[in-house]
Amino acid sequence: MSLAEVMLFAVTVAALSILGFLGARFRRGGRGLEEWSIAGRRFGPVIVWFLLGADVFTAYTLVSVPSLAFTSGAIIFFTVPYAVTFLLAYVTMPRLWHEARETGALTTAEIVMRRHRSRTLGVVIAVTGIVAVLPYMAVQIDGMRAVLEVLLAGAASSRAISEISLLLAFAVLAAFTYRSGLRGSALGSILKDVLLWFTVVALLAVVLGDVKGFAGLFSGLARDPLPTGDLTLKRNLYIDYLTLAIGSALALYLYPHIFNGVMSSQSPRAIKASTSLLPLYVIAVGLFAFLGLAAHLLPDVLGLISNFPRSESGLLVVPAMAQVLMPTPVAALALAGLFIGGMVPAAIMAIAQSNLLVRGVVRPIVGLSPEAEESIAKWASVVFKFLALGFVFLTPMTYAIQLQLLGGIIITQTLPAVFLGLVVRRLDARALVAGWAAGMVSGVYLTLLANHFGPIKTTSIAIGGVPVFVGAVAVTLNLAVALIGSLPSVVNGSRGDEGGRGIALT
Amino acid sequence: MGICRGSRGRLIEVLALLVPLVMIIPVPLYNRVAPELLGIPFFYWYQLAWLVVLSLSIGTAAIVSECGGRKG
Repeated sequence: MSLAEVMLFAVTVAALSILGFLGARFRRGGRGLEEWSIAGRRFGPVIVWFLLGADVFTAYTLVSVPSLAFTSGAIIFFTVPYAVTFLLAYVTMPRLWHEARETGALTTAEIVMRRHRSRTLGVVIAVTGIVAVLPYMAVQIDGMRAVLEVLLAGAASSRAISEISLLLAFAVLAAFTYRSGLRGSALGSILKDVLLWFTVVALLAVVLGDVKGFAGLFSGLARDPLPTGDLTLKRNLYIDYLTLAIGSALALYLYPHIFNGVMSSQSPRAIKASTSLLPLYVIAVGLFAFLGLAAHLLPDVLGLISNFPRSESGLLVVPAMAQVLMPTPVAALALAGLFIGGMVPAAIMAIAQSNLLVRGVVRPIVGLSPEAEESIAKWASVVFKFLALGFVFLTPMTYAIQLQLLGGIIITQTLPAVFLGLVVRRLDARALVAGWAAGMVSGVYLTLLANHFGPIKTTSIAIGGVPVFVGAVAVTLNLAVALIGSLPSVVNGSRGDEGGRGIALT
Repeated sequence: MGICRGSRGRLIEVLALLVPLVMIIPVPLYNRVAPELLGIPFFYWYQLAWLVVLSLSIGTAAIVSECGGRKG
């Protein structure tokens, strides 16, 4: 590690922070929670594209995709067909945007609460969202930590330095999020994305040079096959591949931070425009998968990784590649990009969680003034960030990843209430809650079962000998319960709220 | 009966959204090595190319459903 590199890294990260504070003035509109958390619904398609890219292009994605490519092989490419999520978004988000704007809603919880007239359902959706996002923030921090470990490798007390750096980074992040809310994060997204596109192109160029092109890469891999396939996918994994892609595709727009980003758009037209461009980000993610495959053929990279505990190897692949293969200043920028790639999503996730807490839990139960709302949300965003950071400091790196896998499955259980309710208006709130419970229990149980009640390495369970994504199974059960339970009210034409009592308390 | 926000437009919109779906679901059909592109097996480059098709399809659907000036 060199001091010059560390300084360049630090300067780049500092630039993000400055942008974050400047963001407070970026296209400023009104006041209040709506302004802080969804920029008063004023973002045009390009900004929204950058902002939503904050989920596709994150420290975690760009670190975990190559990591899984490295350890498992072809199956990781499910992350490409996963882009069908944008088709789902095209169909659902414009309508949800209207529904939100008409009622002044910021969150899925509020929409669901009003649409199905059930405060309980709203709280359930809100809590699910808050809980599902926490491990997601933690894995971003894991990605950031992997970057720091590689940057500081060889320095004395690097562990302490990296923890202090993370604390510092988060303190700054908390401060500019408090001040500028989503606007600061939007500006930060732009810097992040520029750096990350640069990183993927530069890394790919260098790696392909080293392995003698794609032809060299794939013929090299063919000599030492990977568990799920290298040149192609192993044949028994078709269902697994599809259900992973479709199951995850169902989840993305249910995540609070993605929904939050969409709600900041100025119109459905802006939503559709930005959605049409999002698949382009996934191209970069696919290319990162190739990087993960290529790591097997790069002894210097493997050498650097071997200095660290085996359980962390996967996460270190991309940072190690940047560090070993690129000239120092370029590596510094790439590592800074990956680091910021964790900070910005963490900020957006915390904003979304705060919204859910304020609008989905606190306000429905005790009522809040607009000033109190904004204030509580701002402080909550600080708390959530440090909660995630604390979790990462206190647990081994792999815990967050395991919980994140579960998080994806549980957020999918909000699908019937949020999406199906768009189409089938007369869903019964109690049936929805029951469906949610069925999905949660089966999702968690099947995941534990698939891993033999040990550490969570896979989210696919064998059904009749065929591996299937647990999330797909759980949400199917959820839907079945919700639909069957709603049959009486759909058939009767009643709204399942017992003659319009208003807010149903079940 | 025009394209912009009309019924013909609706049809184009639906077809545009179906095309990428139909292209990506039958995994066995594209799970192969040949024909390669720049040394990349078909399985991979087909899916990457598909992302471009997806982008264009959603763009087409967006244009067809939003053209015609009226506030969206």
